[in-house]
Amino acid sequence: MEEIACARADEGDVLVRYLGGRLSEPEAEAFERHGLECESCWEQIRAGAEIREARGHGVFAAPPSRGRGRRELGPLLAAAAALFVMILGVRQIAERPGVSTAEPVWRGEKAGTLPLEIRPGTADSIVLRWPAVPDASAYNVEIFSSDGQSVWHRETPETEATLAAGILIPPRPGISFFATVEALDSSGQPIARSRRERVPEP
Amino acid sequence: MPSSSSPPTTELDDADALERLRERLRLFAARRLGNWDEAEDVAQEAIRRAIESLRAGRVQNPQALPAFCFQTVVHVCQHRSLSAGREAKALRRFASEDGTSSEASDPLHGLISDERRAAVRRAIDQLDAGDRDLLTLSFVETQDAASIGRRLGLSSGNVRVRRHRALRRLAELLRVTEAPEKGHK
Repeated sequence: MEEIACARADEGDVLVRYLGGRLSEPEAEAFERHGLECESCWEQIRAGAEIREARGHGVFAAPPSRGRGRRELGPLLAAAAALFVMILGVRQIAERPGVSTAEPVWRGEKAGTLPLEIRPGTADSIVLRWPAVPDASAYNVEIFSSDGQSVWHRETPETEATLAAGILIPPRPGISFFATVEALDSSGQPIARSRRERVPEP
Repeated sequence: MPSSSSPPTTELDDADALERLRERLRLFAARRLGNWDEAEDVAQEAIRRAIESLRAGRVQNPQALPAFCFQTVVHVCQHRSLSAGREAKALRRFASEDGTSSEASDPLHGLISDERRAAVRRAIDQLDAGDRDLLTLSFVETQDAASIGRRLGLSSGNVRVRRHRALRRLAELLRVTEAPEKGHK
């Protein structure tokens, strides 16, 4: 497994969904075509497959069942799950001790907020910039679409990242994009995080 | 000076490049067919056709050879007349749904040799518990980054970063115990 040089396997969790049998056939085929020529992604596919085999599983998990019986059971199971969660929630509220005020939670004053600046770059690119955080060894930059999909991700030691033109193409009208940056310490723990900032259309 | 029957160097280079694709083609065929022996045949067939095309001078752009091989795999798999329903059935057969199937009887265990599988298992056991859990959640339970993040109290991005690092550490452990590529069928 060499240095991760391509983020394709991470985009929308495509590698995990591929091994889990949860990609549509066109999606799986597109990922395979990419993996055929991308060493970084192939290494990740092979590593995932090896781990599955070493743990006593087949390389690919069974695709989710689409049988009629399961469809009919779906609403009933969902209702039962909702009821269970409600009961659990009520019980937890009833048994909860007083709220501790000893330490602020993450995202509180200690964690710090990272100001994220987004501005147009050259040739329709978009530049994301943030100030250096003391003790940060890397920054984790992620772009999400407004429907919750992760569309781009990069780990960098720099305090700037450039999105090339063409990355942010809305899959359908009404979809917009948001960016976040996390500062990570040397053990990979987040020590500061930006707010979710809207990325302007190029 | 090479004999007149020796293949030209570029042809040998292309043949080497094709050989390096064999493992990928086999995996991609196995996903479609649910059978490693058949997948091996399909990968072999794809490479054979590509080499034939090279020798016959039908390949204008050697860089297109991977795509040519992949297309052959897709076509040959389709030709083996697995309908969508039968393919799904094969995939279900392919996977160990309850995780209790024995390796010896599971036809899906075919990407790597027994020796390599044991080495991977040992390397996984040497990882720290956090890395091991993350890799298990990701690749055995195939949970997405958001689900794992909710479970471990991490952001999705942080899960991906940690996963990359865990994979790197696993590869390092494997490099210590085994030469690269060794053990792949």
